[in-house]
Amino acid sequence: MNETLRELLIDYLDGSLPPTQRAEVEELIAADPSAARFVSEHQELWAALGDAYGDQAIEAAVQPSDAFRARVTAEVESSSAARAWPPQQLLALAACLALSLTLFTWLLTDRAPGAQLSGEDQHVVRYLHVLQEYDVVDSMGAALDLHADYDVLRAFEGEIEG
Amino acid sequence: MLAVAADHPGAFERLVVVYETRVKAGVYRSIRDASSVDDLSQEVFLRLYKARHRYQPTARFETFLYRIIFNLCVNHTQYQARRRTWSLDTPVGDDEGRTIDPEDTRAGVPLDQLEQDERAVFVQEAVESLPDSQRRALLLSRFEGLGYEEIGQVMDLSLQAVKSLLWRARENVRRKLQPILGGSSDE
Repeated sequence: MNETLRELLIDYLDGSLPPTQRAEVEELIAADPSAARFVSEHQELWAALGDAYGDQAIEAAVQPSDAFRARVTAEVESSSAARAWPPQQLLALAACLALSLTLFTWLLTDRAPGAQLSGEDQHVVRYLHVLQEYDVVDSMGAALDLHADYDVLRAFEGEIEG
Repeated sequence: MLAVAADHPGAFERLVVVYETRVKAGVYRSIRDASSVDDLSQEVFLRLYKARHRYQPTARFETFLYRIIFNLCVNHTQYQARRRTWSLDTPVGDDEGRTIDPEDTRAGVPLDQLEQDERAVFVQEAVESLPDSQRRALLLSRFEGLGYEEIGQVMDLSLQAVKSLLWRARENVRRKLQPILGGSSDE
């Protein structure tokens, strides 16, 4: 039996052919003993599957029950309830979030570097890099006759910044 | 399903009543383990409920439903296979080391019924020996009323792949059942 005929017969057995084509295949089956044998064997196979797996064969394992339906409904309700928060809880959650955000912002602002320093200290912090440069200059010490005082720093400030 | 998706009161409960047996049957045919049918079927309904807003009425509801059943059963089968591999060294028997002697429940059953039962067992063994994908495609085609395209959607396969899978499944089972089927051809 060729593959085209075999596929046609399988489509016929699966009921996927339109009525006109079905009638043609039935004529063909009547005229071709090998096609007829193929179809009857597969019909028998289909019936055997029905005996082994049909509704009657598996009836005991798939009995509907009130207990099952109650379990499913309860499970669905509990999963929905877990998702849907009551408005009071949502309000409380929003309040907690707002409070946390405020506290976090306040902590960040208050602890910013230099926020609590005097004007002069802030100036020192700003020109800390100048102090670091001064360490290099100071190592040359006496040769340059420099003093690590504020005026000297101010003098260097312009040069290093430039 | 559209009523369930629109959250109409009582719609989901009605859907469970209408589809309970079909879901359980689909699960049972797929896993052949009666003790897990209720738990898996419950999970099917739960997933169906959670996915209700994703349901598009362009596809048949059954296709949507069997896709959930199929995925769950495939996962279950793989999990069971892994468990069996882990417990291969465990001896068969109860906690006290006694071997299990199953009771003969068939005493008093008429002879023709026994023959029919044995034939059914023979068919089941032939089907169970198929590769998983062939077995599932065959059962979806034979019992769940799904066409090639729908089986393709459920199993994530092309139309041609489904046809080929079904053809191989039929042929493999037919060969194995040759002794009990009337025909004798084996082309």
